[in-house]
Amino acid sequence: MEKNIERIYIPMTETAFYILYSLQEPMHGYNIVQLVLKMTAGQIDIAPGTMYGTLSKMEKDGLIELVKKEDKRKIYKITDLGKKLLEIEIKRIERLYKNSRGEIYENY
Amino acid sequence: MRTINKYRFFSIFQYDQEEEFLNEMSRKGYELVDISFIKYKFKETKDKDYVYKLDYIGNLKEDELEEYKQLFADNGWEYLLTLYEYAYFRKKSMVKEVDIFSDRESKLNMLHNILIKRALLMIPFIVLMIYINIFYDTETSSSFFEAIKAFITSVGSIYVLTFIFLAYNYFRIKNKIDKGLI
Repeated sequence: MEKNIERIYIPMTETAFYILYSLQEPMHGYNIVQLVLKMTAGQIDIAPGTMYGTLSKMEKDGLIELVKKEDKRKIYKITDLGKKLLEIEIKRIERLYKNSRGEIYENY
Repeated sequence: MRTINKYRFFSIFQYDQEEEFLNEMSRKGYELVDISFIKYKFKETKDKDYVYKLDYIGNLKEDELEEYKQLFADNGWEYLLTLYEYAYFRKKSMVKEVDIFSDRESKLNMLHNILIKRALLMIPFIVLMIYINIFYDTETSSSFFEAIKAFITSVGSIYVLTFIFLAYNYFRIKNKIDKGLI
């Protein structure tokens, strides 16, 4: 089961990565949009249709979970499975980064 | 302000053309008021800078719909209405490029959802029609059965033509997404 989820999500889309990364702290969809805009100097602007679709899918697949509702906004946070996938993805990005600089990646 | 009606038909895989139509009307100074089937009601306005977008939402539960609308509102999209499982939004923008989707995956995902939840509903009927025509083509059939067969065949032909029309538009949109045109 987890292996399948890994195949679906890794490598991650940029949208999925930033959403999962942001949800290490509990927040709702629009919080994520704002945080990602700030983190990326406005380069990544996640549109609401994309945000809604990704949040629903991630919740269904158990990567994130609902914490509570504030008015009509749902607050999500990452689950253990989500953390595991995020870690795998971060390692992958580190490898890409090292290789892009002409360095050999060593896996510890 | 003056209101006008326009009559247009857009199938489930022509939402890009429907958006284009609404945007065109907006540029001419007409904002969307209401839609009922093929009748689009517009009102004259001075605001010509709206971008209209459609999202296929399927059957969202009431609380899901509330959350969904809130997220769009937070992002500056005004919810207008839902018709045949499509939600209509608009946003004031000087640039045409604003979108409710920001990556290719989610655009394809919407197209895929329409295919699964709407277009494939036609398949059982087409199979039934073919089955009846092939396997019951004998001299022993009653006149009652012949009448049913004739009815199903004629309705079925319309279905097949519709199906071809939908398939064409499905691939037209898919091609546009693949080429990065939308």
